[in-house]
Amino acid sequence: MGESSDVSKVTALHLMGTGKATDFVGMDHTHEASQTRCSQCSSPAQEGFSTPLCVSCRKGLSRRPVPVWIGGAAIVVSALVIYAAIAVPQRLRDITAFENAKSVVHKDPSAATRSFQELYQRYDHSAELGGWFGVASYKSGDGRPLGAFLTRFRGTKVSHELTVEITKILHETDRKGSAS
Amino acid sequence: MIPGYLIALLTFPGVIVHELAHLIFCRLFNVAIYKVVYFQLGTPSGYVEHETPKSAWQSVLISVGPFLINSIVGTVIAFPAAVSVLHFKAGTPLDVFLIWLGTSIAMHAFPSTGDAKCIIAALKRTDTSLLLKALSFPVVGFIYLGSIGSIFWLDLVYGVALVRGATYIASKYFV
Repeated sequence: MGESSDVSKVTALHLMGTGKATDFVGMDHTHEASQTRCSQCSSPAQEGFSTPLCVSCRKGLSRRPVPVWIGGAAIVVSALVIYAAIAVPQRLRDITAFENAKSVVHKDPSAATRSFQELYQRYDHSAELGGWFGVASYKSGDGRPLGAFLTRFRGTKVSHELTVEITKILHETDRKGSAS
Repeated sequence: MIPGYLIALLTFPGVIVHELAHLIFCRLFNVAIYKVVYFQLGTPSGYVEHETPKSAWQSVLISVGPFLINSIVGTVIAFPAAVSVLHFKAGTPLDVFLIWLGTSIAMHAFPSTGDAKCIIAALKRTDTSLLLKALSFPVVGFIYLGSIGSIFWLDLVYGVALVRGATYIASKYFV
């Protein structure tokens, strides 16, 4: 995909391709100059590099300015990284609370209800949380949240695990209804 | 088959972050940069042209820098949104945007074959240690495998796997 004209001698070329394209024709950037003099300003060249550049020219080239739109985009991405990094611990706590609540929905439905309710308030458009909140509430003796869930999220796809729980409850209520 | 320029256009933030990662490592090692193309609708979609670094280690790190930076930045950006969408099935438009951005960045983590050629050039240097050669050899192999794999969308698979994998690991091992 990529190649440079004289990589080992003076330059290296770092190419970003899609991997689906043809080879890039290398660019000829052989910055030839005296081995002891800077190719930019003729000051004494810095030792240890294959390209003859003085300390200040090398520093200037290595810190070449970034275009304004790239700088702006980098600031936006950095801001999003910070926002996301701050959100990570809370999301981890949410996953933990959700999984823990699911595991105690039969043993301690009241505790599960509290956890699901708290999560459902934060993700109020989540059918999954609404459903689990409904299931836990039903098992705690309050069928209204489940009724509200079935009305609000009619036709919405939820996890298999939740579907099984709701189906069991619906069968149970059917049985109770026909028995009475 | 979707043309490469269209994929690059749809995932352009990843290309820009990839080139910025090369740039950051060049700055870190005080390596002169001659030209930078952050994004273009052509082949390659971006590149950084710089002098040969002082040491082979620096060459290798400049080449693999985007793999580290794009993988980390992409995963961090997409993780909270992925939790909402994948775990709670409650994605907002912002979550969808963050997942697109994170996946775009992560899928451009793979070094290109141009990067691999820079590593190979560094390995051919007489001052390159045996340790670096031993460590870099499989890296070059992986880069070429990745390049072949990108025909089968391996780069996209990698991006999605990072984002999905992070939420899976979080739910599996943090709970």
